[in-house]
Amino acid sequence: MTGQRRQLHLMVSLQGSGYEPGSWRHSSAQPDKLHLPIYYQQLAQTAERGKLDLVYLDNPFIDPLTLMAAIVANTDRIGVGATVTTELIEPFAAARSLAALDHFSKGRSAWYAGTHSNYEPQRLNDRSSEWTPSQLLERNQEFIQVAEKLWDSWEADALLVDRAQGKYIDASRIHRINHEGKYYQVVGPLGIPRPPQGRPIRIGFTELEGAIGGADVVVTPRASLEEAIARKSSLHSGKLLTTIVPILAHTEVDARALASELRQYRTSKNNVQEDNLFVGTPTQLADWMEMWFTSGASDGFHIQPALLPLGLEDFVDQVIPLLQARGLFRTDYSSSTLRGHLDVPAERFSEEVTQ
Amino acid sequence: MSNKKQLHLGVLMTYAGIHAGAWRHPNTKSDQLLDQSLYREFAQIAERGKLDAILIVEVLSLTERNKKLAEDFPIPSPDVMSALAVMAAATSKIGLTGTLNTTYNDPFHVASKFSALDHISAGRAGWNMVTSQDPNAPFNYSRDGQMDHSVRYERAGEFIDLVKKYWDSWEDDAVRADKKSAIYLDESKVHTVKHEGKFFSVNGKSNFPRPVQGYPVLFQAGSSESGMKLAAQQAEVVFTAQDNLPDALAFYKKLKGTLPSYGRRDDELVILPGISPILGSTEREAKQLEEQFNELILPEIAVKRLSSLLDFDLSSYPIDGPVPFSEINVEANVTKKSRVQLLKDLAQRENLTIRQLSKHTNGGSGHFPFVGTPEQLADFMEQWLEAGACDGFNILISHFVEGLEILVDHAIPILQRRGLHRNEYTGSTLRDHLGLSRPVNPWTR
Repeated sequence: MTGQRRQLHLMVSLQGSGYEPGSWRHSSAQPDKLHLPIYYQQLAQTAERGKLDLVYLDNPFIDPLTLMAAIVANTDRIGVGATVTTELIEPFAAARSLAALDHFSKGRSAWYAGTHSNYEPQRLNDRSSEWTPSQLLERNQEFIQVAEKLWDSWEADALLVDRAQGKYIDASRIHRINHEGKYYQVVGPLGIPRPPQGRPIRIGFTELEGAIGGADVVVTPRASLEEAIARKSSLHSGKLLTTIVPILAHTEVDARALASELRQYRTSKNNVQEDNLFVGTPTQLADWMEMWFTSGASDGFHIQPALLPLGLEDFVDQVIPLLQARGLFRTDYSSSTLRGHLDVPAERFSEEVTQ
Repeated sequence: MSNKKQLHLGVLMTYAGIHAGAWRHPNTKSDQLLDQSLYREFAQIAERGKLDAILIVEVLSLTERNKKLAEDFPIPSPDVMSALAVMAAATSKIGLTGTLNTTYNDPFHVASKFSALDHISAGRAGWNMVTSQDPNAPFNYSRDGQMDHSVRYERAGEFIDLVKKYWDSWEDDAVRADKKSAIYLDESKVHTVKHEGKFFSVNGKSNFPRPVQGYPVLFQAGSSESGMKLAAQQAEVVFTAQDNLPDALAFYKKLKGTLPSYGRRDDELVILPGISPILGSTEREAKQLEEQFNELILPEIAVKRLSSLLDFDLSSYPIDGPVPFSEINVEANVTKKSRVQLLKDLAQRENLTIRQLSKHTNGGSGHFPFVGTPEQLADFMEQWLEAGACDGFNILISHFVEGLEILVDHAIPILQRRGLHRNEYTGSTLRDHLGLSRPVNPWTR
């Protein structure tokens, strides 16, 4: 559309009661619900109301892919992403689950391939404890490679459902992947057809272990403007999102008071990335986001509300309208897939994959 | 309220229906197998029929025959947990059971997934514990080959014990969420899982809460000796393939008879034989529908399926001649011992030709293939229930969703009228529907 301003992309991460570790103690928080799926369903619906691109599930209490399915079932357009810890599950299983979710959501799935989880109990006899960090990273990259080969193992037109001929599938368009790698040996093909998005959207976080290269969405902490612009220009493909942890109120004074209150609730030595914090009013945040985005420092933002659900509600009800009024953000979804929202085209079917 | 014993009824949702020809039938929703909407619709119909549970099985790889992908066969069911979660969103009462195998999964993940599903569904989850028969599966999971039958079951036993320990790690009231005192979790109610076994070694706490039901209901299938032992020790619901009343009765008595040695009561285990009904408003109509389905499978394909099942190539034998069982080694087929035996018994008992026996693989893989009217189905079910051969049935739906609709709209009302099936759900969890008690957390005893 001519004259249309370039628009930014928004991803929100949901972690329990918010990214401030003591946030659960705030009067508005619902700590008794943090281990219940319905809480995250409601948050995802709020994010969808705000027309966000993607909601990312980062909570420690509920199996990520199962929760993702519940969110998919209760939303319509917003992308839904979750962590897959590559340390202890097989890529075949993960690829199948994500493909199924991409089908069920009609192309709204996303994932982050993480190397390890702080949340899982220690298995004393699993081999991964023998590996060095660089081996774990290597294995992580091979995991991603296998998953991608599996998603590519069905050509787009392999599913026929031809009742007359009695052909459900065209076997000539489905390929074993015959992967013989250092860490994985997988024959394939995947048990279900090519996902609607070709491949689910892959997220990479520069601050965490796990492959960044080839990620569709790269999340990076807030740095100086110069550093950010340099990073953005070095990124060849995919969208770069800057992390921001907003603490908002009607006035700057109130916002600082809220930030101070939340800080007081911290216990022990909780790790908080102060650099990502933005304490101020909705207008101030919208101003900053506009400046950052139009300078070319990123393609959008990764919002980690300090306090939930209030922080997300305030963002959706007070910041989003400002961005929309300035033509910086969509007023409604124009696409039905996450690739569409993010404007990240699908990989071509890989012609190197043969029988 | 009737004191009459009532049927427990589950329905199996697999492929496009249990019948291999089902997907080609014009009324089958074969192009919706990847749509959320189909699973929601199926679940809602089943709930309308006040059934106890839906079962979705895990299919690990595409169907192959002689090392080639079978093009005439529908694709396997999509991801189990995703499908169940989607069904949970569309319903409020019906149980949601899924298979996750104990061979290619990790106990922590299985425990975590079912805790999640039980909370998503407010206490309606069931876990069908299988070891997996799929011979191709190892090659998708970086393994060299299939485990021996007995090793698989040994692993399964340890796997299940560990999964229960994970579920018990948090006591039911571990979440304190006390804002003032800053105590989120009552650490005295979160226990370390310590497990030192042949297959697994663990030392750590779960990060997920205890399921709503304590444990999801534990289902199990597999009628081999190892399978029955596992069932008697661990299972709360057992699926079984029985194609005649005397055998079903013998199985029921035998399995229930082993319970006391594990300190378990009769009513702690629900036995559900499988039945794959094709229903019509008249017997003739039902037979026509069966023929329609059978016609949709080419005889050569049916024979190929039978060959696959028996792990023996029948293609060079005359299709209208006898099944050469003397040349088929039942014991050698480690993945499907009990099913192969069932087919052999059936063929010998009724003097079936290859063509005839191949028709028995189109339906329920050795489960009872029933063709008739809803009235006749009700008679059949009543007879087996009253004979003491079962506690209910697992109904393998012929084709989606019509097969389920006919069952719910025509057979269920008859059962309800006879007092054999509930008119309304009286409870809200799967345990409630099955009359099973909620396991106490060993940490709180």
